[in-house]
Amino acid sequence: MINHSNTISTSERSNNERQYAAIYASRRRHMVITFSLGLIILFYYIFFFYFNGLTPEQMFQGLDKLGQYFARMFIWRNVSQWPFGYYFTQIAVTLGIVFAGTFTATLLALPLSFLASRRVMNTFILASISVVIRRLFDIMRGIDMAIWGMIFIRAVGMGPLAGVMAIFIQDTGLLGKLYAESHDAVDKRPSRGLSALGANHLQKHRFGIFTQSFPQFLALTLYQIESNTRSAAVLGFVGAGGIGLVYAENMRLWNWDVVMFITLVLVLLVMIMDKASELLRKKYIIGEDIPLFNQPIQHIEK
Amino acid sequence: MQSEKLLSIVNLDKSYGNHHPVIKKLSMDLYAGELVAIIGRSGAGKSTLLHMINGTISTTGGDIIAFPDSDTPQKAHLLKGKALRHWRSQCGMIFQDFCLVPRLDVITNVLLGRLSDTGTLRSLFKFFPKKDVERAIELLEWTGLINQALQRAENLSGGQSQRVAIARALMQTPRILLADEPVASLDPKNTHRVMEALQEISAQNIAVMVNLHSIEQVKQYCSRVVGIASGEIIYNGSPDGLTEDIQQRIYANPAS
Repeated sequence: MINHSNTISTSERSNNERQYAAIYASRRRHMVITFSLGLIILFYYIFFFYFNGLTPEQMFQGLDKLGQYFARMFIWRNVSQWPFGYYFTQIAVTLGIVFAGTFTATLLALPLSFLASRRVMNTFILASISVVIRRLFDIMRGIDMAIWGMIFIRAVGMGPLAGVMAIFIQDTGLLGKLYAESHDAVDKRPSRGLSALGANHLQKHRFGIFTQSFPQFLALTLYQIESNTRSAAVLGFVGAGGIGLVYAENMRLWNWDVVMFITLVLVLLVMIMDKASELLRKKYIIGEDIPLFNQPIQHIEK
Repeated sequence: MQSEKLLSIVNLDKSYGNHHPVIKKLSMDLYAGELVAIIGRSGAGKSTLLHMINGTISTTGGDIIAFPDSDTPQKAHLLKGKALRHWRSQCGMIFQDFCLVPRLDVITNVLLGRLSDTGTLRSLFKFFPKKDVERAIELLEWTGLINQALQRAENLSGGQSQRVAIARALMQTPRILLADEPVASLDPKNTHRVMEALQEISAQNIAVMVNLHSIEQVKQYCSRVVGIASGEIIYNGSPDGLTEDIQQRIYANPAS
């Protein structure tokens, strides 16, 4: 565009040359990293299939069998004799487990998430506490819900209580971590404004951080309830109560039609929950416009 | 012979719903190499006008004719899809609040100006041709931001951000540059640098159209000024002809 080269000094020119070199190096690095990542992903797949001795035939035969099971799912026999009361009670028990577990986890995870947030815990001592809390979350989250279920069955016996505790422990770890991340990601300016007007730490975190991360908080919690409804079926497999037991029994007895029926009911439930959470999200996350600017403009200008 | 006419606006109308019309039967032309200021009070329709030219706001009547002197004049307000994107790439836009991508580094922000001329797959991986990178470096050097090239855009000051936005717009090699209150949030020194940059750009045979709030800036930098009140042109001519009386009419309260 405009050439300044005859007006700038030698030192400035050498500085610019260093800059060009840095810019080109940065672009080269970007290229190299992108292509290397692509290659690594490709090699990983090749290695995975080769190492585990997987063959295409295995996959095709599997698909064939899956097709047979799938066909059975659509032929429903003796529907009038199915114990619907039992099925629906177990579904209700599952929902009960999910709500109790997730709700309790939310109550504990929220305060803990502030203690885990790097934004909140910003001095050396506080930061070390937050590290401990975060490692605690890791442990809670690092063990799968079904494994927690098996552990709690040994402790409190078979049944829904083990299920609730399994969901509670796993979700406290998961939600605590995700809440803390959403606290860390909010805009810093509101907090700066609040400290400038003399708010104390708790007040600052309440309005500078939590008011802003609230939509994230709500969205994560609602999603987790929905997700747990799906995965709670596995808890029943290990004996921690709920619909999973019905699943396990009927798969063993080759009653694929019953499996299909329960699956459909669960999918329907998840859809209803999704709709409900959408309504909540609309109300609390998006917010409604206040019709301030609908008044005629002349009126304001006078 | 006058320089090439790049844009011709004929009887342009705009109204939102059943509210008062924002622009009424507005007609004006834009020539290569001009630096045209658009002035008027808030709500006079200045921003709406620029956005309609760029096609980000629809028109309700009249014509916006792109390149009327060329062999292929186009009705810019009717363009859609690929043709609209091509028109937008020829008609750069800069904003009061810069509209950079905060988490991208400065040089990549500038390179984004080439998006409409870069293959989609390439661009998604941020691979830009070497000649584009060279051009971006040149522009950053011209705007005095070469040392910030690898910084994230979110770390720049307002004046720096606006200069990056200008570099990004020039990266498009536009024929027309629309600037929507580019200096409204800048201090006097940065205002001077940005306005000077716009002047240099117009000297490259690009038509620059800029919304301004200060008569001083208009007189200091612009070659022509268009005064709008309530969506109508009150004055269209040299900044020297902008008398007290005309200013009074441009900035008059429409309710009184």
